[in-house]
Amino acid sequence: MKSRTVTLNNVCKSFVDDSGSAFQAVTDVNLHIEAGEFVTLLGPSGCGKTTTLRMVAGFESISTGDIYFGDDNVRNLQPNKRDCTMVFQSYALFPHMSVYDNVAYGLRLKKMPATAIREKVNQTFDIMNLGAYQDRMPGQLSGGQQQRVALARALVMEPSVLLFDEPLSNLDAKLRLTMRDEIRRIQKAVGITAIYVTHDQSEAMSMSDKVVVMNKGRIEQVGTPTEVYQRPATRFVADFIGVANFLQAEVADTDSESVQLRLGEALVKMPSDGSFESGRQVTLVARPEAIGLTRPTAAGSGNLLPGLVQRSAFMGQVQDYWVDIGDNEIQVTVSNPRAHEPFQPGDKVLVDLHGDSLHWVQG
Amino acid sequence: MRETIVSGLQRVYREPLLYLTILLVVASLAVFIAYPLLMITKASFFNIHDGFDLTSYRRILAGGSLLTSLTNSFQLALIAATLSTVIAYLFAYVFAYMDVPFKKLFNGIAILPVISPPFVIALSAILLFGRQGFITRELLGITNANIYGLQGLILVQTLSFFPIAFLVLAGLLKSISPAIEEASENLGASRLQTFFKVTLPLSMSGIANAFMLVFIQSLADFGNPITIGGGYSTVAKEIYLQAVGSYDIQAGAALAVLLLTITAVVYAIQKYWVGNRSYVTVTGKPGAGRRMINSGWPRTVLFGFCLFLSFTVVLFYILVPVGSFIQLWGINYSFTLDHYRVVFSLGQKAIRDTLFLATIATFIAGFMGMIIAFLLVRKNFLGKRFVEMVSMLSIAIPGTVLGIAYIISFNQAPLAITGTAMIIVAAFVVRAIPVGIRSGITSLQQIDPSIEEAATNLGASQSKVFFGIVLPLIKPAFFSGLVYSFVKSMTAMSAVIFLVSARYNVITASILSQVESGRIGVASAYCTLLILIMIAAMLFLHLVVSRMGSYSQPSKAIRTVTAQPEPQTVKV
Repeated sequence: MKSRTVTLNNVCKSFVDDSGSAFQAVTDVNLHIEAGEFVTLLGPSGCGKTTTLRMVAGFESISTGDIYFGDDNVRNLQPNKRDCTMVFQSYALFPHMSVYDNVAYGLRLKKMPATAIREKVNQTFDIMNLGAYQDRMPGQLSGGQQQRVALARALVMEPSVLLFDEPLSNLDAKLRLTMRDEIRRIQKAVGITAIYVTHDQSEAMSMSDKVVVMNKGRIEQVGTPTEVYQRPATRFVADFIGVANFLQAEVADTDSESVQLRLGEALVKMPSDGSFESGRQVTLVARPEAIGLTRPTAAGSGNLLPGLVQRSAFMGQVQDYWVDIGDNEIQVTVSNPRAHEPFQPGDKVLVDLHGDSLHWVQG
Repeated sequence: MRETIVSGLQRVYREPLLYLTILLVVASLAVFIAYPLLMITKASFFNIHDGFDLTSYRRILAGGSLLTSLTNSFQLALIAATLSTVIAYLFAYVFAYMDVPFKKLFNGIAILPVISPPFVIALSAILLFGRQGFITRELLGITNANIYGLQGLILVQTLSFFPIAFLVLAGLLKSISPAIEEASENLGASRLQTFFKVTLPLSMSGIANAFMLVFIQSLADFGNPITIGGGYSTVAKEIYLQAVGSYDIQAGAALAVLLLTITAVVYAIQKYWVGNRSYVTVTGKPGAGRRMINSGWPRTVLFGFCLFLSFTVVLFYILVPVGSFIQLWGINYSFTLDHYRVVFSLGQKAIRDTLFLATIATFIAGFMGMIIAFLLVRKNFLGKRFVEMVSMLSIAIPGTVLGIAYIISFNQAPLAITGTAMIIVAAFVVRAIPVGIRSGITSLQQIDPSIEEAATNLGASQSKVFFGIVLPLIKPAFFSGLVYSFVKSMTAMSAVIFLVSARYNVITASILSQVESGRIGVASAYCTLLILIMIAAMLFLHLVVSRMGSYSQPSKAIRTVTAQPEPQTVKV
């Protein structure tokens, strides 16, 4: 399969509404996607991710900037001439055609001979386990089966780029997990470049080689799932992906390896990346699962802060606590809650901010 | 600005077919709807020497026969609309709330006025209640009965138009969530209290809708007043008489402009003011079905009333075919085929012409309706507002207004097409197309646009998307548009009556001339034939549609149900 790179250069999109006022939906998006890479555009609704995808597909014109498939600028290419098939959120199966005809549709438009079409379609059916349904109409399929047909219809075209517009949002939770794996498996197997739009962070984290976090039409961060989670570039990214406790701190002292931060009364130590100077205000990001809770009687070392348990919630595999540590209330997630006696609201505790897991962002 | 022009040109260059289509649509709407309306407005303000004067408006306002026709029409429309709405509400209530037999019959009655030529009920009324009427003369022995005039018009219009109101109200009542009424009963209200405090207020918007639709129909009605109106002059008839009878085009034009203004205003109120006041859409998920009323005296009384009225309507429709086989109604009741001999000799040309012209118009209106609907729902282009406005406005144009506008606009160069087939086809199309556009828009709005994007994404061109995806998906709307266009064209009279010539004649005009010369038998034979043609056409199209098979929709995301069904079969 001839998968290709995709490059977005300073892509902007502004819409003009009826009253004539312009709205900037996408601003200065620069992105390079390697051939065969699975990239997710992640963000809240209205962040411009779908608009970006639709510009790649050609359904929205590009206000300024360029989009390249390989070395070809596709800016002025009609959507039906671009080599990037799409899996739609609503699947968009042709309701008046059988499953077979749906999948064969694009090949027929290419004027491929009927025998070649049959061969290709059957091949795709084999990969997707759809052969048994080929004579059914879309209305006779379950949501999951429709989803596979939509994927098969896009795959069979062997495009340079495969586009996904929130394809799993209409499925129930269990099926969503299965389809996630399936999409990822097939994408890897055929080695196709894929751009995947979603607002579901767990979908993005579990499937992607690279996650592009977008907010208000701009890219906030591009990185691997681990990077965007552990090293969020901005407060928005930290907040949007996973749960984050934000703590305002001031740089108290710094040396070549570590930095001491003043957090209210307490001092907190973390590794330095060399960018700190004394007196500077920073926002610390502490993930709930990277915080320890112990009884005040227990001896220990590290960034220990006294706290008071406010409330807790038992989630099954984990237990969440909300702990007052003076200026802030932080959320702490304790895994394997069975291991020790749960804390009760009103309990005095020691909060351990693991220095290695701490991270800081601007703002 | 320059950049937008350049990018606009680029778009035209990339999709030449699309923009050619748009150009064609805009041009034909401009020539066949906007231009004639401008011309008639101009004609009402200018005399034959091209001088500006307000003579005709002054004449109308000064009183006399012109003003009388307006006030008469108003009086008639108010009475007919009130009666029709009340009757239709009772019908719709029985239909939606009561467990009674013959519901199919009620629904069938509702389609009758759509497929019937404009004369049928009026002719039957004459046969039953006229001077030689079967009931008035044979049964009651009255020799000077007078059905001609206001009383006849009220009877005939109410019977003709209440089914339109019924369609609107039945749709509305059915869409009221039973849960709301159950909530009312659950809080302690009786059935009667629930009706007055919940059901009736919720149906007010529909009642207003139905009333105004019938009001417009009655105002624009030409066939009934010309047949049974007698000395009671109404505005549509007066326009015809002014234009064709006394050759005072300016007065006819002024009346037509007034009539158009009134219908357009009422239509706008109906569409924007009442349309937005519907509460029905705020209901949640549909719960269990409604518990039907299946006993009690109100059910018996209402059902009896509906049955009586249904049979009356059916009787009116049966009487015309019966009358077509009778020598001379009221005097000689012997069986004859003479009337059909006249129809098939003298009327042969009219039948052929009508079938020919209507078939052409059907295909033009059918395809153009869907294309315009598609452009309006899915595309943005320069002139979209114009297309939207004009196709909206065309719903409100009464046939007589269109007729007089056409003879004013098209009898001189550059568009001298009076007397040709083209002008009649154009009139047919303009009268038929609004309903096609509306049903096309409604069904397109229920189809997920990403289905079309998927086709484009897989490599389909614009025309492939339209003919391969869109048209099959809106097939029901497309075919009902075709049927409606055919039926409407075959039975059209009010506009075409101005446009027929020796070269092209139509059946309805032949019927009118028979009615005017008192040959009711021949008129009945024409009507019967027309009804038969229409039934055949509908059966044929029904067969075609069912042979083509249907499909089920893949997921709920693709079809969102519109809460309030549009009254698609309403003609204005």
